[in-house]
Amino acid sequence: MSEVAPDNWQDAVTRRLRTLVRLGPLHRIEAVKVHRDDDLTDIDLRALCLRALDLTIERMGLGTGMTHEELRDELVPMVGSMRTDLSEEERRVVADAVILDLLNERDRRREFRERYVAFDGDRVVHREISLRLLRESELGDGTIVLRATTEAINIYAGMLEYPVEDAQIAEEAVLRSQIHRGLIADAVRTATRYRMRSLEYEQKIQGYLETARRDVSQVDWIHEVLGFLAGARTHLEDRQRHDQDLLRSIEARQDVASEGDAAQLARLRDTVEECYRRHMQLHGRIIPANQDYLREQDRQVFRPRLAASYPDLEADVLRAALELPTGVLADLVDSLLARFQPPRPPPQLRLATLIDKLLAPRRATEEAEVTPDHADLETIDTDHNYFTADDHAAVADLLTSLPPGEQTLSSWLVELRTDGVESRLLRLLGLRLLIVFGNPGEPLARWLDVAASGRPLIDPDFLGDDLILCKRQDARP
Amino acid sequence: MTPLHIEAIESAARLVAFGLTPGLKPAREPVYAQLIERYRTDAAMRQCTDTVARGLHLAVLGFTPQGIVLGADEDGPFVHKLSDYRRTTLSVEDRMCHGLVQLAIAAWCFPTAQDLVASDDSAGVRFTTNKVVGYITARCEELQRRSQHDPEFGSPELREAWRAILQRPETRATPDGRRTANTLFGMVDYALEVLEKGGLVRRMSDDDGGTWQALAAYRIHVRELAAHDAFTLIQSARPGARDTASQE
Repeated sequence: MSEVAPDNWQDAVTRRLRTLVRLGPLHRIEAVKVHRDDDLTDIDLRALCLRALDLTIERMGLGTGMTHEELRDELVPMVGSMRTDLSEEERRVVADAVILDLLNERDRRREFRERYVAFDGDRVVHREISLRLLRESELGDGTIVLRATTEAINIYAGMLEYPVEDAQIAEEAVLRSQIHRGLIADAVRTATRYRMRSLEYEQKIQGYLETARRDVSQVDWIHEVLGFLAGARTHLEDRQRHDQDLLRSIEARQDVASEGDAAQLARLRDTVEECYRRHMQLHGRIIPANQDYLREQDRQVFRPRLAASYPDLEADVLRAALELPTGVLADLVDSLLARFQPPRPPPQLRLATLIDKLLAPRRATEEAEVTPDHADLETIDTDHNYFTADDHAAVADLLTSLPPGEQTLSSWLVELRTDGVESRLLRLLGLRLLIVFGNPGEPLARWLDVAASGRPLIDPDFLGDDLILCKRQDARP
Repeated sequence: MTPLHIEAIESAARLVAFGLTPGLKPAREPVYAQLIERYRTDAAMRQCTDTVARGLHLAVLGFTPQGIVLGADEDGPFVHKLSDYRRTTLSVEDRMCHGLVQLAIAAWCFPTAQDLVASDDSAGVRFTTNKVVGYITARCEELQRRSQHDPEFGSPELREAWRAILQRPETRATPDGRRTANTLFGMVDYALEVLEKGGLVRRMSDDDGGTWQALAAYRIHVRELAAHDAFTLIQSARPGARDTASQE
């Protein structure tokens, strides 16, 4: 297929440059491999990327798609053939990395962005192409499968810069000619590209309909989408008619084919049939699209939100939130939870279950068999307390020495440690203060107030919240 | 008013009930799949479902191949309030952190407006709990580097959120190796567990403190319910905005 003749050299350069920069993500994946933790010498990540796209597109044709794990397992032997010294686990890591790179996981799955220079007459302008290569699509049963994007199919098919519709027509013409001339092996190869084009076209149509369905205000339905849909309808009707012609030609060849050709013709027939079914299904989706749009418009017109502009959560919301005073942001917690968390069905008390539990016969226990006679236990008079009477006396002295007024536990612990107080005494002191904190009736609480500060205690030996200690001025221990 | 068939009301209520049971998937529950298809193609069914949901203080935010996506009104019985979310008494800093964690997870998964408009059947990014914690602290450190003035040692409530976060121990391990709930790690992990129960993210493995993947339902939820409101809430809470409001 020859390139469309450009009007001037500026258009030609710009078009070829756009073709070139679309391969940028693949080259970059290879170029930055030296910065990875793993040694990827002799592994060509571009080749693995292209094979990954190939396998994904192949499986998309079967209608189901391929999961991340399935694709990884398919890539592992190829990694192994590039580097025989890698273990099975290391091969899996490389294959995983290839898939994640194609998803642009490193940049949180944003679109790849490629800048280039374009010529607008004699003026130079800087432009940018955004593209995705793979995406993960959710299925109804909860599985997530990989899909190649239109751009990826375009890259893989090696026919950049041609509208997919034109490419489809061109491939089909080549296919018809090859079948007519009996070049069956060539026709099988062309059919694979034709199939790829039908997948690409499917992605294009689905993307269009999805955008329109989600936010009617984002598309100019009357001037743009209705025209697009009318064009798509005609294109799909043509495709179905031509697919049927192709199928008839293949059948005619099958009747007179040699044994060797028959197998290839059967393969050819399967591929064209698959394309025909896809074109028919797409046609079925295009027909009610206008009604779907009108319904969405009815529905979305009442939606109390600004449809066209969403904020950048990182730059406009999170950063601004971090600069708010703690108390102000804390006051918004209920509102934020309401917006960001899913609905929570209130827990239900089932009366019948509660009554059943209350009325259930008491479970038989071993208690009745326990003899109250503890003949084998002897009374020990020795005191095995960890803290001695001297420790208690020392801690009482420390508490007495606490100066009047407020002080935090953390700062007092630092002071005591500097004064060389033993850590076992600090532990006992901590326990005494906790007893006061938990028991307002404790004798010590008469002259010492202990309250939580609300801040964590930063201390090498203790974990918990910091306490504020306040010894009363008139206190008499 | 359009007369509604009783059957349509029952079907609408069943669809809402399916939406409140995120474990159920249309592919495994044919009635659910049929109801979603009806919601998609039958205007009366759609209107009825939206009305039933509204009556329950819910909103139908959209649907994915894995089911219908619902959001709760702030005043309704299905809303997540902090008192249900965390039943312990929390300090002002802990409350701030729980709110911030909600924002941070969403901002990590969908940093820009462009990320919110991806296709409604596209699964989102994979990430780990540790990555989100690192992301929060990195954003705080960025603000610290840009900060021109010394910290003010006033009331903790007046201190900027990023300063409060940088002064927290990022993770404090308990003696038995468990993570404490009131660390940033514990809060992110807990928030993700609740999102998982609601069918908005999925847990993939325990690697690196827990590996997760954002689902299409989470994108729809953030896009349709949270993003714009969160922006308005935060912007109107900024000191300049509050001063202007009080002058008016």
